[in-house]
Amino acid sequence: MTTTTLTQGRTVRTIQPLQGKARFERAMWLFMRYSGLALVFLALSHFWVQHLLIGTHAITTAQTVVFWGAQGQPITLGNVLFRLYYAVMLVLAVGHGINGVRQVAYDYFGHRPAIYKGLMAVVTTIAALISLGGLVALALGAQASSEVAMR
Amino acid sequence: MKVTLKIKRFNPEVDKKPHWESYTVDVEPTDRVLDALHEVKWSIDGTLALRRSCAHGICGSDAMRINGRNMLACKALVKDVAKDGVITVEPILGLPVVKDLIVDMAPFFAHYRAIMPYLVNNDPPPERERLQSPEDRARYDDTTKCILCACCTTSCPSFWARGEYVGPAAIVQAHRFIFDSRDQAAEERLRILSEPDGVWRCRTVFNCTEACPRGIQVTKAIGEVKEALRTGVIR
Repeated sequence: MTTTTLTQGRTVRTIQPLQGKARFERAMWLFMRYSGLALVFLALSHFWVQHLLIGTHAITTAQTVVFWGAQGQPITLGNVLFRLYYAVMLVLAVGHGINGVRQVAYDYFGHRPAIYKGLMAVVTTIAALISLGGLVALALGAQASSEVAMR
Repeated sequence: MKVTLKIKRFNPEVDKKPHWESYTVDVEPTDRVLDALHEVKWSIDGTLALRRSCAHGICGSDAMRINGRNMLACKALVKDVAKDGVITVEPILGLPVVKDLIVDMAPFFAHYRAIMPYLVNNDPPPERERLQSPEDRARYDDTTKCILCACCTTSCPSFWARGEYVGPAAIVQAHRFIFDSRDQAAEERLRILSEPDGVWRCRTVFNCTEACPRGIQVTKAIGEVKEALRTGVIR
């Protein structure tokens, strides 16, 4: 620990960087703060696009595919931004939710390692499946999207 | 005025689970809840068990849950807490009940001891006291007021869910020494508080700040410890 004295009479000290589990817990705490804040704006923007720009009664799979931009036409910058926007929202929402469940599971089952580990295995599997679904949606090809639009 | 005290009773030698009993006493509106409890114990039912010592808001012995909120019975006036002439009194939550309103404080003090609640300075002692600037002294002034009554810790939902969480009171005590410029063990305390059952279990519910009978900004103190861990700087 190093010590520096400020001119205003206040002492400032620095500590060594955190390591291991402590560092991970701090990172997760920060992630929850930042992702929570970001999700407020992302979710509100989502409602604005879907319900005001597109219109509540015009939300259809075909309309989404148009925004997604994969109907055999060259993909525009708008399409890319639309995909990125939802990819970010998906990653943050899933990450935020999974870490929240991890915290609650630790609160109630942290003292029973077998139950805690089992629960976390289920949660991680669900997260992996949701992420996989997100990846498929992001990489949705022209043919597949056209077929979806046709239905 | 007539007041009915609805008290949660539990005698481990007789009862399988806690139950409620009501007592009506005659008290002044400006009497304290502790006075009303004394009236019950001394005049109606001598088997009622409660803990109290100084009875003036200093020792912190008579922390209890009054009308669903943690407070000191010696600081709560009857006129402020009586609702339609009824006051509910129960032991603080999250700690094992020994009898009636008395809880086992051992787990609470174990957390307190874990954060090294004493000044550590390995430098040779000076001829007189270890000096510090008024600004440095003011930095931790708020957290010196803690009386270890456990009102904050036992109002915390994270502590109810997981008793291994060090709890607000221990963090407040750690804050008092971490931000003391004369102390040399701040880093060690911060390492203890950065563990999974340390400061990150706080969900910023603010129950602790509301419950503190000494008016300590508990959640703010916890936030300052988090900030020190986040930045690696104690300022």
